[in-house]
Amino acid sequence: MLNWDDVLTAAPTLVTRESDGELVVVLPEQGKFVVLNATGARVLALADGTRTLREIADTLSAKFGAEPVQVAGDVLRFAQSLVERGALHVRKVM
Amino acid sequence: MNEASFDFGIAGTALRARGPAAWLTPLCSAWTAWQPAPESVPWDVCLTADASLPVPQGPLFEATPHAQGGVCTLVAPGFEGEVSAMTGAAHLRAHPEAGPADIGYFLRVVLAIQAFARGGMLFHTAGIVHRGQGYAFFGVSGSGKTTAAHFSAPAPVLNDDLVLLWPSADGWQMHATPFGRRRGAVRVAPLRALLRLIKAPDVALVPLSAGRALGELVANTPVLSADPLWLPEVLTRWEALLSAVPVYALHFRRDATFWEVIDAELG
Repeated sequence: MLNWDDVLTAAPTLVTRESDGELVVVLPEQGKFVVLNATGARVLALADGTRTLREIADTLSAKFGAEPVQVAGDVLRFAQSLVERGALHVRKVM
Repeated sequence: MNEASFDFGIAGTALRARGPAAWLTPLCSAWTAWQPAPESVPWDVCLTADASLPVPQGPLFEATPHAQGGVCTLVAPGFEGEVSAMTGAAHLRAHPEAGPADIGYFLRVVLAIQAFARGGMLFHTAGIVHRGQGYAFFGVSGSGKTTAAHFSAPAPVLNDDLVLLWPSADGWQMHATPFGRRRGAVRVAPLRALLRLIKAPDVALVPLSAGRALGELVANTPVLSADPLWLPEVLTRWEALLSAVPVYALHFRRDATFWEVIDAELG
């Protein structure tokens, strides 16, 4: 389960391609793919190994002027799904 | 062990396999109609029986190809295979208990890599010819490719699992392959549409977003989608194909009515 202090990094072997407003993310080891909308693509871009999940949520909340609690919930669910698919790696911060 | 060799090819692909006759003779007999074009330069596929390898624990088909930097390896108990797109050569060492089906699978992997290197693509799809046009029905395992082929009878089926897509001056062509079940003698047809199968109570053709289509198609490109270095080019090739060939989600049920919907939209 993700924690807010976890640092997220996109899997190094991901291959992405922007296509008509969507981001296609291919996971070569699994032969699977994920299609992200603009917000999802932004989360993936922010998961660069320097930001915690909380910082990613805060950044998006500020960018879109949205309610932080609502954004946090959405980001948590979305990040969790990408972790389960192998698109995001997690570094636990003690 | 007697040695044998045979040439095999589809569209612009060409392989020259050499190895034990016990492996190659059955394949040569089954695939004798699949001769490469005279101008196609073959890749050498060297097959070696090696009793020092462990006895195979299952068919090579169950091994997952691993690709990196243009070199694909296929390793499982009793098998050690490698295909290099850079040198155009392939080698498989296999325990003598391996069978022609294992060798056939290896040749399929080599063909997938060579086809891509030469501008085409092997594609997991049921290729069905309807009114002279080729329709590619694709989707995850169990989505209904074989069912679509069944309910399209007596239409020719290029293959119910794997076809070869090949560019030509007249557009993309869909070629039959010997790697699955076929119906009829038709070997090639112009690619009219790509149809992502979705089982549903009501038949409909539904637009598929460009991103979704691209992801689905790449995921159904065998072997090549496993290599991060090949993937950008695989995506680019599918983008080129999608600029010329329409793609839809086909909601279909277990009858032939989907052809009425296809004809109404695309016929």
